[in-house]
Amino acid sequence: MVLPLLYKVPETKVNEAPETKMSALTKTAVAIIGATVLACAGAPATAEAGGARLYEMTENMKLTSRGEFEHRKATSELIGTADVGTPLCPAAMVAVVNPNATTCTVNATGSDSISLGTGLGDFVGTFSIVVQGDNPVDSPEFVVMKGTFKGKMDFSPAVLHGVPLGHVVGKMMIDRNRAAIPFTGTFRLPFVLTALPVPDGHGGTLQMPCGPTFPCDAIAFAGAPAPLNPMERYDLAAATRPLYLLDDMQSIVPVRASEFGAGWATVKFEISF
Amino acid sequence: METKAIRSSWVVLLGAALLFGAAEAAAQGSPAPGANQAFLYELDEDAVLLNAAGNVLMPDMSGTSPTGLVDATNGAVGIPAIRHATSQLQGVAMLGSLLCPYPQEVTVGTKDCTVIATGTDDVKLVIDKYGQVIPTSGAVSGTYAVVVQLDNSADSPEFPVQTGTFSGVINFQPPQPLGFVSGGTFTIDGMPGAKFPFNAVFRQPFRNAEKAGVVTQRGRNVKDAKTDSKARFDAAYYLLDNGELQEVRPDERAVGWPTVRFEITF
Repeated sequence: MVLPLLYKVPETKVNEAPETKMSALTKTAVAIIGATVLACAGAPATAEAGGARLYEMTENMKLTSRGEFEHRKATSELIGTADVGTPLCPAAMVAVVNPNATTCTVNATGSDSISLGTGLGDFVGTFSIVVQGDNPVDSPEFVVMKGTFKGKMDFSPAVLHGVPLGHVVGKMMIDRNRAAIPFTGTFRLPFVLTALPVPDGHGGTLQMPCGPTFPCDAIAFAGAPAPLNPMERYDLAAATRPLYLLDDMQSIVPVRASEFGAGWATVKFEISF
Repeated sequence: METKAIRSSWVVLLGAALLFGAAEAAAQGSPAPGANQAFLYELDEDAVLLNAAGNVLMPDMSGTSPTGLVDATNGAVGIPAIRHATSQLQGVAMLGSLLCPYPQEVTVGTKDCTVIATGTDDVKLVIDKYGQVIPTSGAVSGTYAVVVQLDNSADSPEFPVQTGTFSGVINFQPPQPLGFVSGGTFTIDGMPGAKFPFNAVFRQPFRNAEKAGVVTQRGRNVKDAKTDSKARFDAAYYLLDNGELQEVRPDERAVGWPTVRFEITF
């Protein structure tokens, strides 16, 4: 469930700055962006209690039959967790199948169709709640509950404005239970910054492109490594590590190790009931 | 009493594997596939157990079934006979292999193609004299897609440029954490009648027995990992063909969990 990601740092208006000035620019860039990034570095992307968080492991998209690109249709496979006490993780069930658990593992398959003219569309899918079965080392797999979901998507922030966010409103149905459970959700698309703001000498800022002489990730994160994060797929000199944008549309947080799949940063789907 | 043992032990297939005395590889080899190979990783899995009648078994919420399982259709005590599972996989195929025939399909910044797949298997189970449920063999089949980046290079590729199917028979050899597919077949959509053979090894991640029971860096015992999802980041290993252990790398994990590695040779 990824939409065309047009999110880009605005074009810089200057050529690459002289190397002799790089140190000062670097320090200033740290001052400009440091407060935002560092304040969030250790914080979760959002409040993470009383809901669920799913991560898109794979996506398989399709064009329309005539090769037109008016609608984007895709099927995604997701995995994540739901907090105990939510509809996806009933306390009574947890007490039987996994008494010490604080979350349930959720697998889901979702399909969507989004208009690239409006950013609006529909989605449907299935989910299963799984617990450890025959190998406690890999992810849980034994299905203990299943259901379906459907709803409306608003990806206009991403499609029309290049903002890596999307919102959904939907209902889910648990098998053998007719009640429809309403939920809302936010998609956070991972992105990287390929430039950072530096002073333009006139009281404003301009975007300095990342590169070997202006290593954005080291500047933004003060050279701190991201323990356990698989970064082989990312060029940390040409851009920052993968990030999520928060709801205030300004703050960003790095994608955590637990939010990667097969080395790729994943789309995060936050669900609230 | 045997059935009671099932309840506590159908989850222990890999436990036996931990008894291996295999040495951890001194130098961790690259997990990259060789020429004419593809490595796919099982990112999630839905599994159900079926009894001999083919009915789904569910956890016994009443706590009265000696196996911990009941027949979902009639509530009878559940004895597993088949493990039916569907898995979602993603990985890479080397340029020049069946799943990466053209340089234009190579994922930007890499030397290989990204492949996603959905696979289903039905593995027969037997119960040994200790009450352990042991997987034997069964049919495996599915679909795949070679995908390239389209609209967000920060996440995994998503646009399919080659699709097809695969099928074969997988054989497990417990207590080894391995499965083997021989004589499997790939097809490519748009090439009717063409079939391409493959063999594969299915490496299940496990923890090193010699390290089990020690306190981890998080202050928890790895024995508690089953109910502690935060233990997903503890070190895990694959058993290689030469008996050495290869540590699961960060890019071989899904939301932190070590993944099953499916090594395909064409």
